[in-house]
Amino acid sequence: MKPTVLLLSTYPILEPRHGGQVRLANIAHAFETADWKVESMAIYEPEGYGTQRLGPRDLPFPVDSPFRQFKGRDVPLVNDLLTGLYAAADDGGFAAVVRQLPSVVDAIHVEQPWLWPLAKRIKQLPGFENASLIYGSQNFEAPLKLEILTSYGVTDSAQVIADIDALERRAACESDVAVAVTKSDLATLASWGARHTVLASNGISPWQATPERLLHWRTRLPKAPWMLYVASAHPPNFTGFTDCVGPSLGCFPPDSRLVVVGSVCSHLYQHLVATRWHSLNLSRLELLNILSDEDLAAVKTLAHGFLLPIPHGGGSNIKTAEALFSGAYVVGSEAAFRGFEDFLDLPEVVAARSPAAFQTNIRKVLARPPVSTFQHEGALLRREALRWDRCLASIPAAAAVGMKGMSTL
Amino acid sequence: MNTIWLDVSTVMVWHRPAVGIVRVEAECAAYGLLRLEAAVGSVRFCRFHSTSGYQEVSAAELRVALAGIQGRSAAAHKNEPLPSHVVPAVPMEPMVKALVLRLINRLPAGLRASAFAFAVQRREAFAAALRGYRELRHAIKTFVRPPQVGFSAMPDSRFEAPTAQRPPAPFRSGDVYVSMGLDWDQKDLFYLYEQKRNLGFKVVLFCYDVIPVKFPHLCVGDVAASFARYFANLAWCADKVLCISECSQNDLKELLVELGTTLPNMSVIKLGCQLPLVATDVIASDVATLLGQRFVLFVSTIERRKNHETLYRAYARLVDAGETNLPLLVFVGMPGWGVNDLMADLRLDPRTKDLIKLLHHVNDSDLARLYQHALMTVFPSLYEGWGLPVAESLAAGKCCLASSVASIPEVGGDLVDYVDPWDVTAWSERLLWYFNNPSLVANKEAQIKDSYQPMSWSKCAEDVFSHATGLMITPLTQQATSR
Repeated sequence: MKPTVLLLSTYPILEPRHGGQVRLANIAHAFETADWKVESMAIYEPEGYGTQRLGPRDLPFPVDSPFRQFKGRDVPLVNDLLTGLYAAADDGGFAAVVRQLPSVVDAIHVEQPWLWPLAKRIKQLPGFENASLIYGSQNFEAPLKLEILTSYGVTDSAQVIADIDALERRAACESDVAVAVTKSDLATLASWGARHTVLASNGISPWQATPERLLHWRTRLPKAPWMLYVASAHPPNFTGFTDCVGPSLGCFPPDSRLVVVGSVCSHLYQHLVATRWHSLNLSRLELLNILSDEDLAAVKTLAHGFLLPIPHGGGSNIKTAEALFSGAYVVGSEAAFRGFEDFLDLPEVVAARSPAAFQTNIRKVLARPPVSTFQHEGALLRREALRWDRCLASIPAAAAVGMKGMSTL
Repeated sequence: MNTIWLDVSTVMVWHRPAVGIVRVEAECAAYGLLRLEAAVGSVRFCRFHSTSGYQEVSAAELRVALAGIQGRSAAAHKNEPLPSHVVPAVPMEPMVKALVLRLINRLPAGLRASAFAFAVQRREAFAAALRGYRELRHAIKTFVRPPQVGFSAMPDSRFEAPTAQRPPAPFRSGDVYVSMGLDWDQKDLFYLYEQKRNLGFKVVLFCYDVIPVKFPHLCVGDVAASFARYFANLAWCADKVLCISECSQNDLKELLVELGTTLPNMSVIKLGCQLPLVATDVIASDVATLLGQRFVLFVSTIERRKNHETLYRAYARLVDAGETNLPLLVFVGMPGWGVNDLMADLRLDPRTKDLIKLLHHVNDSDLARLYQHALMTVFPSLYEGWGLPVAESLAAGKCCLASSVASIPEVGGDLVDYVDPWDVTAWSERLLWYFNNPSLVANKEAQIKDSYQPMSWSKCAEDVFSHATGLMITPLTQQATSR
């Protein structure tokens, strides 16, 4: 009989859009490939994910729930933390969760620390005591949350940050398997007391553009070389843009563009239109908003280069993996290459350490011929290692070992 | 043979006296015609049109346009030495005045005198109504189409090459295109960049100043953003940028580094400073009245950046200090924007209203006479890309007290005395020092006559063509820049 893994997250994964959803959907696929039965349960914010396709076990975190307050206070941008408290509480959503649980669970994979209290409570239920606990760390959430709250002018967040930090450390210590996305994160989890750590980097799903979509986008996008920035509305994706690239897009020639795809578009527009150089910036921007997978595949295929203006933070960036896999030029911040440092020796990959370096390298890249003309076999092989199936195979393998360990106890 | 294409778009549509940038283009065009007649190299002329792109202009067409410009009295509208960012609008006051006079002249002869008196007595009311009309028009315009900064609505972004409908430019690979006109207003640098990439010609563009970006508050409206875009595109288009001063060159470099553009090759070129003299025996009555008196001359459009305010305050301070033997202070130039309060002060302040005279319509002949008879000249501008009135003053052999900022010391070198434009006390003290020591003024004039070498417009034009020719013969590999 196949072992069963229960995936717990704060977002549904049937229609993955943002990086967290994409990673977890691929983790589900990795378990299935390793012959596991996969059950997923999302405790989601209906205002954010209500329109997405939901799984049979997904449950909303009601907008009018008293758990929407952090210790009696209204604190913005911390619903992820509050979701865990709601889901694990008897006067919150725990009863609903119990009703939705599968009858058998051999492993519980908690993606990000938010639902760790829920996993611990499920494990205390009769029949679930032997489930092994896997903690999937995508990042270190406490410092990231601090940066986000600070960038929005939210002060008095010390207690929130302390709680998140404690939650992350607790998840690392109490897990049977702790998963990290970079070697650096792996070392940190181990230093916190994680018993068994595995590395499972972020990866990509190979894409293949159709001739029809390629023709469509070739006629619509600039004929001159242009660069692509794909990002979600995650605040650092736009608040940190000018920190990385500078306030001006003058490094793009008049006939080139920075093509932007994803929910970051409207936010980046607001950010750049508020700069002193708004007229110049808007003349160099091409905002495509959210595209279908087919259109995104075509746009990624046509891009001369990828821009990765990730200002800071831990974890690793799925967009970086996609950019590296594309074989096109990649100009990114040092933080963007976290977890992908091995690729920095490729001639088409550049880490820029200042706005001036970003601008210089964007100019240089746009003046060079397409990468494919000098692509070499070694680089192609290295890129194959970026596929999700290669990156994530370590998680079900570690879960199987964890199960074996539990059964011997 | 490769060709130098001189863009004469500005002079082809100019129907007023050639001042500032128009003068630069007109002088270079005239020089280009001379080269054409002498068969020195290959020179052709072109103009840009927003729908049909670049079109060749024949020598005959250009001669007609230049004759039209040169036949007009330049100094009638003079005194925007280098209109750095706006195409000067036709002043509305003279138009209204002419209209009123025409209407009065249609009245029966017996009524004209009283109607004229009626109108003159209400001149202030008419002027206020005109200002009110302008403000209302501006309010409606900005209400209907508010400035772009802070727009919340994101445009439906679709890349559209705006030049797709235009035919290719007539330039060939190896040719050099030179433009020095009101390019931000009349050209499409996106199209120029695209044509350059497609056809392989070289481009020489001009930078007069970056004041609209550096000091937008000294310009009309919020022009910084649109000019930043213009300068960024200029940087991408140009193989060489000719700047009219070291100061402008440094300002442009600093701006382009900040914008992150490529840095094109740059050179400094010196503008001509000869007055376009139109000899005539007729002297305007207000000028004739002045010529017999002691006066200090300030030639410039009356606008905030030119800083007439400092001179007014310096004179007021001298009067307050009990100085009685002050020469007249003569402002020659059309009133511009942002000086309504100053104009009211000049009209009403009893301390200075008989000391400060304004001359709005001075022809070139009279301007030359004013330079010739002036005790000295002053130029307290807050910022300049060059400072042509200082050069004109030196060319006329006149002692000049000038602002110490920006490019102005480049113009005057050691021959001009400089003062911080904001330091009213220093201006009043320095002026008084000159007024009380006429021998020092005379010494300064002698020094200027001995050592100042005025730049001719033909030499300026020759330098422009020399830079263009240099691009023509320089191998491509030597022109590599940081791009």
